[in-house]
Amino acid sequence: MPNMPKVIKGFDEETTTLSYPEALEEAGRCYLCYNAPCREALPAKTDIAGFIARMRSRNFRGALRLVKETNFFPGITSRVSPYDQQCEEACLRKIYGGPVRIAELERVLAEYDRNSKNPYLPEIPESIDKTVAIVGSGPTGLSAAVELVLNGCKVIMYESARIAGGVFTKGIPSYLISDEVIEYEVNGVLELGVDLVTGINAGESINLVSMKRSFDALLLAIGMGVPRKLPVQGSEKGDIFTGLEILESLKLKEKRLRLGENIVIVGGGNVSLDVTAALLKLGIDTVTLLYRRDREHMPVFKSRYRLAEEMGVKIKFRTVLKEIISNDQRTITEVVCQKNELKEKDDSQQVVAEPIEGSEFTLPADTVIFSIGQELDRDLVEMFDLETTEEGRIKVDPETNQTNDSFIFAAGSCVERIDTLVDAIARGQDTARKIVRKLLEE
Amino acid sequence: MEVNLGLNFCGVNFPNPFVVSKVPPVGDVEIIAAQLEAGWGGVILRNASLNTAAGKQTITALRGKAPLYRGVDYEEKRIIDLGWIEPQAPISVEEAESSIRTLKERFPDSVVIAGMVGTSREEWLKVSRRLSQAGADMIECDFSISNGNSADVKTVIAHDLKLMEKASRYVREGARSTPVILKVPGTLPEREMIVETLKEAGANALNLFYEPKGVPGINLTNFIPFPNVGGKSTLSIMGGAAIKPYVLGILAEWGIANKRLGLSVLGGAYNWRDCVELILMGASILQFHGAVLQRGVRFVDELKSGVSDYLSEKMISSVEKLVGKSLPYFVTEENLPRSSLVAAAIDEEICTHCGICYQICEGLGYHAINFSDQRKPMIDKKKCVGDGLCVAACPVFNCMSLRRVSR
Repeated sequence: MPNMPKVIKGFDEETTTLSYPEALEEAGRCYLCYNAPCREALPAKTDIAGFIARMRSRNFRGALRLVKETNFFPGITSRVSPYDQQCEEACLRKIYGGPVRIAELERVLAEYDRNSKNPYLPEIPESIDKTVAIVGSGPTGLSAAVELVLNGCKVIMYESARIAGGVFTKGIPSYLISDEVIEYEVNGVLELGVDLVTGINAGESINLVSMKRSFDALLLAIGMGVPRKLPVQGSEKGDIFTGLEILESLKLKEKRLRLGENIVIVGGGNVSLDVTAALLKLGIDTVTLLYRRDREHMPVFKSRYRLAEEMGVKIKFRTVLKEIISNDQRTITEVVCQKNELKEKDDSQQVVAEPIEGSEFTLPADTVIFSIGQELDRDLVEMFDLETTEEGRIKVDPETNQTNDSFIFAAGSCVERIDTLVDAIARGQDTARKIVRKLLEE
Repeated sequence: MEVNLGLNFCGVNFPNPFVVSKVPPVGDVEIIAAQLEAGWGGVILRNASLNTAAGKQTITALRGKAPLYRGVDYEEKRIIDLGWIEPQAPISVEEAESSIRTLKERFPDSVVIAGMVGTSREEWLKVSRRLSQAGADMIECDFSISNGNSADVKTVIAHDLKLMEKASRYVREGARSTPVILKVPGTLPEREMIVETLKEAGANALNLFYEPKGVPGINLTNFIPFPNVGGKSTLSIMGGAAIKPYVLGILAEWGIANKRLGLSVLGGAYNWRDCVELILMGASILQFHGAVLQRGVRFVDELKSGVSDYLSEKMISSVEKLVGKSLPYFVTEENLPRSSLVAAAIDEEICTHCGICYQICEGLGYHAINFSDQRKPMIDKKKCVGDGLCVAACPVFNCMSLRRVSR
């Protein structure tokens, strides 16, 4: 029987926020260390001890201002980024009753701001008479936009999707963060006076020549927009999705999805875990995740793995997908998998997975979801004649973040591997500073 | 080890040194009975006065005067202190007499101290006599109130030694053989003379309290200081953890000046450690007000357990042996022995490498702490003067200390 479309309603946020008494008590646990190591351990380099000290004296507004200096999206990052593996891991208090719960405190501030009648808006300095165009409104693009505006630039932002936010809006399941929180913090950027043009593919609509005429610089923060699919046999028919497609669908309030009862997910990253957890939450029992290596090799956040585990995820480690088998009605009936053996490379700490001959086995399946990462959208790169790296990303000068065309800057995951949203935000801010420096030199 | 929390104070046997002072400000005898039931060593009844009409005060007397209390917060700590406006409401002598009789009948082994005020010879004599006849174990005459005789200039009785002496003689005469405690501000100067004079006038003990009043805080939204009584505020009596250092200081000074009168102290103790400190500094009886209001009557269990476990651990058989034990170590500043050398030391086992000691010594101290790239603080004994700033600032309990060093 072919898969019936299921009506899926969005999730309610399950992340909770500490009450003020709890927050004050938690803030009181912080030692306010000298040269506090938590700061270095968070890519955004937020002055954590500084904002906690302000919280302690109940100066929440001042605390939020300090956070926003380095991270304009505390409501989002404190819900989604793995602070427990970054700043909280570095907390010196951890040997006495566990680390200070920094993410929780930052979230209290973000919620304080969101509920405030008089939310925080930074002061915009005098114009330096420079205009920068940004392509892509994900975390890198948005945070670059903030930094540029706060340095007196005018910013025009192009987004191919209907709304701004990139991975903020598309890639995070709603049970971790509500749309309202994302919308609030993304709108906060637009309120600074950033012009947003949505539904436009920058390269197609405006050519480079006219861009160079209208703008002083162009920043590409386009991410890795194209989800990969494994070119295995049978992957051209039947109910085959990508992880991002599923996550994006689940963000909609109501969506019809042709999902079966036996779902196989290929890939072992955060997106795979998120998709798995989300499907399990929807009541689909049989979700099997295939990962080619072992648990310790999975590039995932501890908290996300824990959540998927609690939901009852089944993971087949050292397993790859070899073939998808469908019937005459183009309905998937089963998948053929193969076991891997792991070999340590002599010259590096990387572990290589090699398939074991004759270890094939089949799993019943009616839906396959690929979640094996994304690649660069080549259109823009080719249109702008940009050089790329072996890894398939845009090549930039690490000092300046300029591409081979000095007018064009690039930042974020289209340039390098980015593990967390806080990293993406930090890269955006950092690159914006480089752009300002270059524009002022001219 | 069996330890004895009981002690003899001016001839009266207290089952323990913890006494509830006039809690709550208005209420009937059953509330006080519950305090003795819970195991407090004694209670002090609200001040009796001739000028109060007979008949019990009811809670409605407080309507319109409230709120009385305001907690003092500090950063994340709720209520480190309590300020309150005392309703000026003495009880009638009849009510006091009836309370004494009820309580003594039901709790013959607990101590019932009758509070009183007076502003005339007649009142001092008559009230003390009637309280004594009713069976009060002790009488505490409160000299912290104003002398109501003069309408224009109100003097606090305790600020006029002659008046205090006169009043003490009348109370002594009225109380006959019942021991008399005089409640005086611990902040009074000329302590030796006061002790001599009041002892001669027949007093048995002093109950010291911290006189300066305070303002617990201000509401930053509407600018009205706390507590907000119908849109206005006034000075509050302060008690609790924040005044402990002052109360200890008061006790130290009286403890040295006084060899002849028993000492009781009101306020400053919020846990058993505070209690031990106050006793070591010379108080025999500890009076509680704010702490009982905050923690309830069962709070005495914590105090009793804390002090007796401490005594057991120290192998001291009785709380009486602690009284004044710290006084020999207390001298005036010019008599401090300034010849011993100390330097800071760090317990590396428990150090978290937070760097606060380094930051503070580098900033306002004598640059005597080195801080390595591995975040390991090291004391430079040549530079350390032993001022103790780092010890005070270190957030980890018992991690830093001052150690004696040879010259």
